[in-house]
Amino acid sequence: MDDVSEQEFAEYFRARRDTVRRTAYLLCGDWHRADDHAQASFVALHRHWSRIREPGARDAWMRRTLTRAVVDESRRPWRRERFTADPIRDECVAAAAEGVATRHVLVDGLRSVPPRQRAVLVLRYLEGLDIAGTAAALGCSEGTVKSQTSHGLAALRLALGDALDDLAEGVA
Amino acid sequence: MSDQDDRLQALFQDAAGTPPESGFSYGDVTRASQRITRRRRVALAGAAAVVVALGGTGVVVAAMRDQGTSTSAASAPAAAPENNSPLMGRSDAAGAASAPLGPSNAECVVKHDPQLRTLVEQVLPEIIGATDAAITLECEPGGGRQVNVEVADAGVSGLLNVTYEPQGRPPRSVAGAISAPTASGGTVTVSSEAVGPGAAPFAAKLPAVLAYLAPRL
Repeated sequence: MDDVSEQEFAEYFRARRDTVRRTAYLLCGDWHRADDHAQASFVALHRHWSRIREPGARDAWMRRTLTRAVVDESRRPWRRERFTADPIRDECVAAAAEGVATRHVLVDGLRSVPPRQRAVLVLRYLEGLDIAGTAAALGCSEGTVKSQTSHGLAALRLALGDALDDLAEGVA
Repeated sequence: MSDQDDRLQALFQDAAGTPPESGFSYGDVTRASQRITRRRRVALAGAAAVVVALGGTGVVVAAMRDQGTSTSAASAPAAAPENNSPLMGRSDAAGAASAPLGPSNAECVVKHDPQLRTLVEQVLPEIIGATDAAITLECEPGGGRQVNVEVADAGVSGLLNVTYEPQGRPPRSVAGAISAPTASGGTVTVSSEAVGPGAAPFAAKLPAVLAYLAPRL
């Protein structure tokens, strides 16, 4: 990579690092693993930098790389997550009344949502992508995104019980 | 977007919160990327060497088949292409004739220059994985390159600085630093400073570092 490209990458890294880390955190629910995934995605981007010219394409490339990495990792036997329909712990539910605890409740709830549905929810509600953008990031159809959103929110509501009022109603 | 979607967005934004201090830096990313690139190149060179060796063997076998089982001097020309393979020629030439790195095209001096760091790591592998040292963020024009890393040697911590100044720029003036002219007409300066009591880390190796870098910059 030449010096100009290196400088461009450095600026992109500075601007996007924390955004990518936050997305990774909601995807996997753990800051250490989130940093691992975010770093690996930036390393991959650095290696492909000269081939991805459009700034918008870089963001899309990062989203796709990051979500695939987290979803793929969750499929490995030693990393396979336990899915449960049980509501999260009562004390945690009670704590949801406190604003500070809300984030922990939601993150805990997200961990019980299947990885691909979780990725759809994170891309739509954290990254703010529309259905078409989410479908492009995940390499699936818009119909799949709609159904995964619906199933993901249902799973999240089931996990949270009535911990978060915002999720109590159905979402189309 | 519906009100429900808006509320969900607010919830997700809040859940992600403010990230803790990052576990990786820009330097970590570029070094990891360069390590992977180096490994790929080595693997490709190895694969190419195998192909060339197999090809050379094929030529020898074919020549022997053409000339019966004789292993007289006539087989020597058949083996000659192996010795003159492009791969071997390139690897021999790489160390002696590769172009010096020269000035950076960046607008400001790159104070954690990954290409310069790669060169320093080749001659001083002890710094591989070392943390980038804190730097000032002001923009210094001029095409220079720097490596600033936190190092430790024999129990003494310190800072290692390598600075390349292009032709026409004054060399960096640091107490205890050593300098040399480079192949591109610039100046390379190497210094090490102990943080606390004790000898500066890698002080004895700095002349070798300088001698290695000068023809490559």
